[in-house]
Amino acid sequence: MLESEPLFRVRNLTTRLNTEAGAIVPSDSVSFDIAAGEVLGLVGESGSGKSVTARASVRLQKPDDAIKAGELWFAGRDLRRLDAAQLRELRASEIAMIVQDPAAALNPVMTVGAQLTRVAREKGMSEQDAAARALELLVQLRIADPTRRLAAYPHELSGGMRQRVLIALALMCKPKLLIADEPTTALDVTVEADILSLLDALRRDLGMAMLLISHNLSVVARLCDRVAVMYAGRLVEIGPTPSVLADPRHPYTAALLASVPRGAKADGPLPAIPGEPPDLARLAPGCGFRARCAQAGPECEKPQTLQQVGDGRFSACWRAIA
Amino acid sequence: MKTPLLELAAVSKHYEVAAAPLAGLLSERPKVRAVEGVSLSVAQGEIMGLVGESGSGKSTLGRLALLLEPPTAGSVRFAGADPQADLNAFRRRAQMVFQDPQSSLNRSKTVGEILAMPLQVHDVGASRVARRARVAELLTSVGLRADAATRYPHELSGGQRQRVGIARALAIEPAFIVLDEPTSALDVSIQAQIANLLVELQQRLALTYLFISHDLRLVRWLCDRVAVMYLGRIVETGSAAALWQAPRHPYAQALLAAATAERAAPSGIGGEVPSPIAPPPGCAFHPRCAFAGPRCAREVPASRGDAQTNVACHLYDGGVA
Repeated sequence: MLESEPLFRVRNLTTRLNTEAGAIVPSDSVSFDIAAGEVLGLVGESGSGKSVTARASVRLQKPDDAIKAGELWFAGRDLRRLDAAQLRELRASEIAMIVQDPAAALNPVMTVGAQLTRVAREKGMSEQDAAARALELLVQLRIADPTRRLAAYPHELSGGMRQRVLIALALMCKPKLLIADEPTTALDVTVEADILSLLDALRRDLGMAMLLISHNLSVVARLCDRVAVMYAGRLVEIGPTPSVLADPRHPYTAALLASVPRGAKADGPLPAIPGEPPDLARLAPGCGFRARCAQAGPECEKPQTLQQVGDGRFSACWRAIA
Repeated sequence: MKTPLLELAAVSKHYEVAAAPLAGLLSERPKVRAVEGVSLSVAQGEIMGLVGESGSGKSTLGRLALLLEPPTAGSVRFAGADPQADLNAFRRRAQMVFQDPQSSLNRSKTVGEILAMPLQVHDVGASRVARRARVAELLTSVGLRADAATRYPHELSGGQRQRVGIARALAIEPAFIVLDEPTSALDVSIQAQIANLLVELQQRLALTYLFISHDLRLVRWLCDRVAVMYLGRIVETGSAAALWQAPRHPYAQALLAAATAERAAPSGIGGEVPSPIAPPPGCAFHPRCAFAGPRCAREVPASRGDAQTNVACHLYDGGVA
């Protein structure tokens, strides 16, 4: 291939976890690329495997041996060959992560400033430079009264403010890739709008790539260049966000989009998806969505794989491929 | 105009916060003003939406409407009477569905026992056989199989548990239900199922709902009218369609714009929701409002309009100067 190597390349990532209900495969042969500066959205419902997949893709999933197969390439390096110390080094400098609940991710007994400077100090930055960088970031993140916030403890801040601090923590070392797991789910809609616009500005200004995990299609639509849709541990569709949202090529994506309320109840019932997401411990071969799919037929009992169905578009539904 | 089933008149709820030791001796204890002078009427057969962000007081208002807590000031009337006069009778007619069916269902009881409990408490369905038949009927009406009665809550999915929560609220055939974020804990694909069920039940049983949610698209779809709350007060009330198309209060405008944005864009209301312990003087929204003028910091805007459609903003009442 002549095209340039993407920043992050995941091929056939497969994870297996032992749960009380039995062994499950939260990610089954998942493949995706993220180019430098690109934002990829990973959409799915709870239990679809999106968080495990994202964490395993940078070897953050515990236990680490849950990763059963696959290739993970980041900036030319094979992540599966790195040892614990090298991984820690990589995460401290090039890959950062923010999570849904900043209250749990921040240290409650350290001030915001101490947490921010500690990250940079571990990277060998001087105390003075680290403090300057921390202040600069809080200003960039539009945190009012930044000097006073540096001296504050997490519990003294609002939810939106804590999420900004967590973003600042992730950005201290200017990462090339930011993994954001439901970064706005715990926030109010106006604060969510502010955080999304902030992330959008950061990716433009810093050229930072992002993997944004969300169950919310509207969040993905606002921020992501491309979107990958996950169902029952497998990617069912991937493609440029506008075209996937306008013209979905997998029945699950289509059903998910249709179930978002648009008009009023006088227009008739919402097109809900019948049934429930499948139990990953009892997943039959074939398309994981077929039990809830209006178009399912005998062909769907065969294993389905992602195949190209258009310009940059891939679907795992044989009907879209045929 | 339809007759109001529920009428809240100038209802307030203040909570005292624990202050530093001895501080209470010197001055008045600080108060959280969770709800401040709210008037709202809900017509028989109507679905009234209540939207606002965390800390706006919408859940507290829902609890006040059911007298789960006594209001600090103001009055609650139900079907033209004072519900305090016969609280037991009121409880038979007004019920609640909670956000999280995981924590609101007793995990040590079967679904059948959970649903039979309100029948026993309110002495409906005289015999055990009659109660069992009623439980089966309830389960069917919320789209569950009658044999779900023998299951425990943890054996059900989140969507199924919320159906049990709804069935429990329906058990004693209430006229009015407060639904506090009933779909927020559910997956996207299950939310639509529950929304459809709520509409079907409302129409079939002629129910009246107070529907509390932060999901504006769902509120627009489900509700006849909507009230928008900010820091303990209702800032705007109107038909769901009118509010969706042309919100008037600057906060309602920002909320709607944020909820329906198609591109990443700032909300336009910087800063944070102020503390309800020390709300800003005048209009509580004025420090974040792009249209605020001197009058907004001075004077609390009165609600202009009627019980159906109203807005509390100086822009619509002589200006902000």
